[in-house]
Amino acid sequence: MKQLNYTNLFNSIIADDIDNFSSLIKNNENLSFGRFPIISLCYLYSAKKIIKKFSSKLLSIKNFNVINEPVKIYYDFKIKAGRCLRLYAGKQNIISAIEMLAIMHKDKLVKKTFKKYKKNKEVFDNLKIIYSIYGQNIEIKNSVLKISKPLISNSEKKLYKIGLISSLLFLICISVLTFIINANTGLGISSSPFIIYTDAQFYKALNNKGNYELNSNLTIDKSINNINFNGKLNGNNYTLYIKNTSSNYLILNNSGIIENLNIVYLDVEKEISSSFSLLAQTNSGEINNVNITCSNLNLNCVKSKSKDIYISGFANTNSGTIDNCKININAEVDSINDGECYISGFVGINKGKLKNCIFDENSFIKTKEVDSAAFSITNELKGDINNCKNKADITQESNKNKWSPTIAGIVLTNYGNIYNSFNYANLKIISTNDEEEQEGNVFLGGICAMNYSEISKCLSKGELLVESKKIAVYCGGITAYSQNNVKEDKILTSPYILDCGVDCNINIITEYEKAYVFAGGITGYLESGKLFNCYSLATFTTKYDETKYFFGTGIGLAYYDVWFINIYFDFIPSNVYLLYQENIAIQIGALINNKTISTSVNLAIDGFNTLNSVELIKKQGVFWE
Amino acid sequence: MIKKMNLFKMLSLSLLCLNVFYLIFSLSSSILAIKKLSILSNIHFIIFIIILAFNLLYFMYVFIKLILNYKRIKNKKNNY
Repeated sequence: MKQLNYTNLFNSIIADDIDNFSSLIKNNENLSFGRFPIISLCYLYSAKKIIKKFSSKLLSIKNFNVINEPVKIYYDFKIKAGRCLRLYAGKQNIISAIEMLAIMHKDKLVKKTFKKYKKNKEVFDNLKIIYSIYGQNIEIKNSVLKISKPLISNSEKKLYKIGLISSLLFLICISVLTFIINANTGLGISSSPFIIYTDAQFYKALNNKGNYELNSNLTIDKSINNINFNGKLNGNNYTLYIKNTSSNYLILNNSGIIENLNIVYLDVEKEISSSFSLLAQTNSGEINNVNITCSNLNLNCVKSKSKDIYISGFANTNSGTIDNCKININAEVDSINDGECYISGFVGINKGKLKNCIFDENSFIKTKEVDSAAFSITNELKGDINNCKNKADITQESNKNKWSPTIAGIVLTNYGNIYNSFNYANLKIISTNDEEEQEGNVFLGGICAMNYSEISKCLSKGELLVESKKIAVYCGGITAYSQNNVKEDKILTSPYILDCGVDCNINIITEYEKAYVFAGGITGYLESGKLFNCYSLATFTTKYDETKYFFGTGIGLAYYDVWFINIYFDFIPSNVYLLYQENIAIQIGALINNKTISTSVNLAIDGFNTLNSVELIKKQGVFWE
Repeated sequence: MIKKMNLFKMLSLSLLCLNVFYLIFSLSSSILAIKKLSILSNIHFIIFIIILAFNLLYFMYVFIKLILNYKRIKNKKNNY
């Protein structure tokens, strides 16, 4: 009976039958099947349910009731023990639960169970031997058993080696393929931009933010005007040939970087009622080293819903940077039906930086009632124009009444800074307006027409020519008209003309006896501000007379105040050298105060110096070219 | 131990599938690139970085495991 119970108990352990085991274990907890206590057998046969419920009770048993050891247990143990079997060969010692766990590689449970065997030296020695067979070390630190990591088995090693070799092979294949893609397409990063071969790819690129570069010339015959470009495009000095000119600009807004690109338009002939640009409508990014060519730009401006129409080479509005760019255009622009229209080679309204740019020779701008300047129509308060050179002749014809034809070599209206810039081109205005009640004035400046801020280190070398039937003329080698920028009775900026030079011929003829001319070597009209360290070698074709041709070697017309009998100017001249002209004997052509003009023939101005020869002026510290 | 090996096998298999997928993807992208018909998308670069990172991590994990095992065997022999 008892033997049957022991057999049933053993079978229940193998089967992990917790119900049977629970009924049979009563009063048999200290049973040991030969060298194997019940708890050791549970671990050997992974009887999880029995272990979970009875392990704490069974582990606490120290003395055992030993019965016959079934052969099956020995054979099963032999398989699991492997080389550890040698430890138990020929011995009858009890194989404790912790030793069984160590043989089964259950290191975590060994550490957990060690508390119960801490003081058992024999068990610890056996554990040491078992673990040394497995290639591991054990030690006790602060009463806690430490076991080193197990060695990898041979099958595991094989798997690891396969994994290692295959991942290495994949790495090589992946790298080679990616290198091929990089060489042919680019990866879209700044060091490896996407390479564009076709116009279809070009249209796609403009619609995305990324890094791109051209790899061939492209012909653009699709309208792409609604694009906001915010990536980086490197043209690699290739050329875009623009065939489709149905839209008024190539790009709506550039806030990215466009560089090293040539853009060529052949013929552009159209009527426009809104602003037009050969590149972008607005630029808030960077445009560097871009050349634009248009051999025939023929536009008619009609009355528009918006106030003004700007025709520009690079951008109607610029708040970014345009650097090292060149334009070569032959432009003829008419304004019909009262269209308010302006044309400039680079920018309409400049609030950013325009530097190192050239309006190339063999270019020209010819207009009819369209004001123009080579670089910018309006240079705003934050606008900066630096090192720009104009070599394109600009001409305007006008016969409209109440129209003031205005041209300038660099900027039409300046509220910002213009420095280190040069006009080498001939500027010409022909006004045939002969209305009885004529209104309007001609404004022609070698650098700037209307100046409200600073112009420094600029040189005017192109001829200034005006033919006016009935309207008055303001003309100067640097500016036509310079006055304070006043807003709500506050002076925001004053006109400063510093370190500038003039070496050109001024040729002005008017017909009507009241078509007054105020022309000066440096400025046509000066209200206030500073005039420092400048020189003028300007020559005048027409002779001064005190009825109509108010020419001055320095200033055409100057604003003055009177205090008692003394005359005071609002502007400060200093170190200004003027070339004596036989037909222009005076430095300032006329004075104005409260709309009354008086001549200044006998006026000697402090700060102005008239010298008889060019050589003498060249010896002065102000001369440069 | 057995669970760890299963996990390692699953990891290796997943990485293998990823690598095969990426190889096919790269191959087709390379052909398009050579024919100059690329789609100009930087998705390829992003996937490349992810795949490269996984492979490198896997490679380092396996390599370090084998090196440590080799050191343990060496120690065991020295102890003998």
